[in-house]
Amino acid sequence: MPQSAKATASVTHVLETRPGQFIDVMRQAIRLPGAPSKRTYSEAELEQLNNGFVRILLESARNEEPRARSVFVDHAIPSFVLAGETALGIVHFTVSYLMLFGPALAATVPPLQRADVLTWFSEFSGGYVTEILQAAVGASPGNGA
Amino acid sequence: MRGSGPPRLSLADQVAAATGLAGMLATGAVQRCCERAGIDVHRIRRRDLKRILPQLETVLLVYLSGPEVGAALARLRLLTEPFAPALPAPESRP
Repeated sequence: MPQSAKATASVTHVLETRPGQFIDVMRQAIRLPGAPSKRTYSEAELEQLNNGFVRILLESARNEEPRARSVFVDHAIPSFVLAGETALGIVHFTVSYLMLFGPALAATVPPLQRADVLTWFSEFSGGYVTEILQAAVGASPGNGA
Repeated sequence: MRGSGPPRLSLADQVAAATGLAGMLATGAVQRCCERAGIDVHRIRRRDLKRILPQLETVLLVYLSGPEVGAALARLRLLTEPFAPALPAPESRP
């Protein structure tokens, strides 16, 4: 099995068996000083958003059709906007969250696979942020940030 | 006599509560599913609910566990009944 396939297999295993362990990453990203959002999120919202992101990541690691990702982009991003978030705030949070998530994810796999996991996650993140940005701008009033 | 009971939720809010989704995710999901079905969320009727149930289920599967989705769908189907009792407004929602 190629190294990259071993890395995504490890990621899949971690996400399937310990999905809840990444909720702290979301809590940390929400509370970062300098975040433009002034909205507070309930624990239930954070837990469900974490569930959603873990499913999106699992689809990608398994190379499946991105159904959860499509639903998230189509429903959750307009929900954030409806709740008063700006496109800039959504992108700010997404990038902060991904920057924290990558190392947290890499730390859960064997040391020899960490570089491959981070490479895979970096590629995922580029495409993900692009989609989130497009959806956030598209959902914003007047298509502004 | 009016005004003696607890405040009643609108049907859209009852649907949002029945999804089991939290706060803004619930409100946003119901609004988006209605938009997609060509339904004004503020004027949604019980008979409209059946049209948005398949899409709502797809959304719930992203955020909730299998048993949670099953329970939510049971609550939502109950709301499609013509004489389903209106849910009282909860004191606070997450």
